[in-house]
Amino acid sequence: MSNLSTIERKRRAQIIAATIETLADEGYVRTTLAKIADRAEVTAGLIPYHFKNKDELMRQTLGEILGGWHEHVEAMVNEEPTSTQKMAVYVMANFKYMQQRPLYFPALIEIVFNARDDKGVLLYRVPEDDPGIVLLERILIEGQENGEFRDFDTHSVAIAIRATIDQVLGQIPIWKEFNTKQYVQSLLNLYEKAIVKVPSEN
Amino acid sequence: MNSEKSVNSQKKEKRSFIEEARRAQIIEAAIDVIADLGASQSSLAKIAERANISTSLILYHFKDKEELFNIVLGSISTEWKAAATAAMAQHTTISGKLRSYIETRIVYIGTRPKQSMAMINLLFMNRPSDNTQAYQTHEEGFEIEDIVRLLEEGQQNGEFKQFDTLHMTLMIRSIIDQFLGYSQTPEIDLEHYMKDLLEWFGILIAKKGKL
Repeated sequence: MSNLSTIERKRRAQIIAATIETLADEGYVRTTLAKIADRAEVTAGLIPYHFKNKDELMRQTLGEILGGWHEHVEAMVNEEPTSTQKMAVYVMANFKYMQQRPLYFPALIEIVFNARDDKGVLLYRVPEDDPGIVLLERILIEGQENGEFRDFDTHSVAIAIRATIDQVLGQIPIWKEFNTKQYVQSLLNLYEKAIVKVPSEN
Repeated sequence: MNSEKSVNSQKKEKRSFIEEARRAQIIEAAIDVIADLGASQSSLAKIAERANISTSLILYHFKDKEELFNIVLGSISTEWKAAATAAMAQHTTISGKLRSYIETRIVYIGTRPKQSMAMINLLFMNRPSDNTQAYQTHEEGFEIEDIVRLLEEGQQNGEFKQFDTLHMTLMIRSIIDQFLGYSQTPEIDLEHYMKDLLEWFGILIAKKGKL
């Protein structure tokens, strides 16, 4: 990456942005290099110069979506002093990041559920070591160690919390009348009730 | 679903035993292919090949791919809903009914991985251009409102704590739905997860802290 010129980097970013828009609008199958080129206002011949083929472009687009997202959430979480606050900020940061980029999550879903190898196996099936789950589980373990959280299976709870977050992220473009903010607040209250030790338990 | 209704109303009474068996065979092959290849890569030709029949025979029983996929999804939902309804009826308490609902769902994902994978592939892949998932609404066979009502009943009879019933329903459903995505992840221990999940919902929902 470091040996790319500024112009090359700009061009790649422009193509990836157009890919995200096309994926969100048209879905994975109908997203062709020609449509992406059209949207990026470049000639179709330019894309293979920067990305070998559609698979490679999708891989890099997914990397772009996941990388920035995870870095942002982790940086926000690290600023909080207590595990309870880290937990709340983890949830909020996920929503805020995706709310500001409404096309990112739909594009991510399109890639994850459609990109397959020659044998038809999904390429990006949710991995066990998904950085989003790993970070969440780390927060939960720390909270148990420092006595803020009660005793529970951190992995199961991390998966469950992650599920509710991902569900809302997937629904942001669909639930037009639904009050997402209120729901997120409600989720946070519920997580806290289930996770944080109440004084009488000590 | 509309297409299913129209076919049912036109054909259901007249369908012979052989026709029913053939339809079931096609639906089963479609589930296999959709689970393996995803919905958009699943052509009628591939489904026909898997069922060892010709494509035109599929078209004799189903108008087109879309109708077949709708009916496939409907049949998975119906199968699961029947299992859940039967399990829920065994319980007199609302806590028990809710526990059965969650349990049947997770058990279904564990015991019917093909159906679960086909379902998630259908839900996520067939999307019209308006940015919504085509099959979103018949996901589970149960409507959101059914579960909201169950939670309200539990609150009214004093079994459950006070909480926003719609929000709690969405939370339960999203956690269960997420597991559809794990249906082919062998490293996930569904039974263990189910136990933890029920414990967690017990704390959140039931006054006595247990479902």
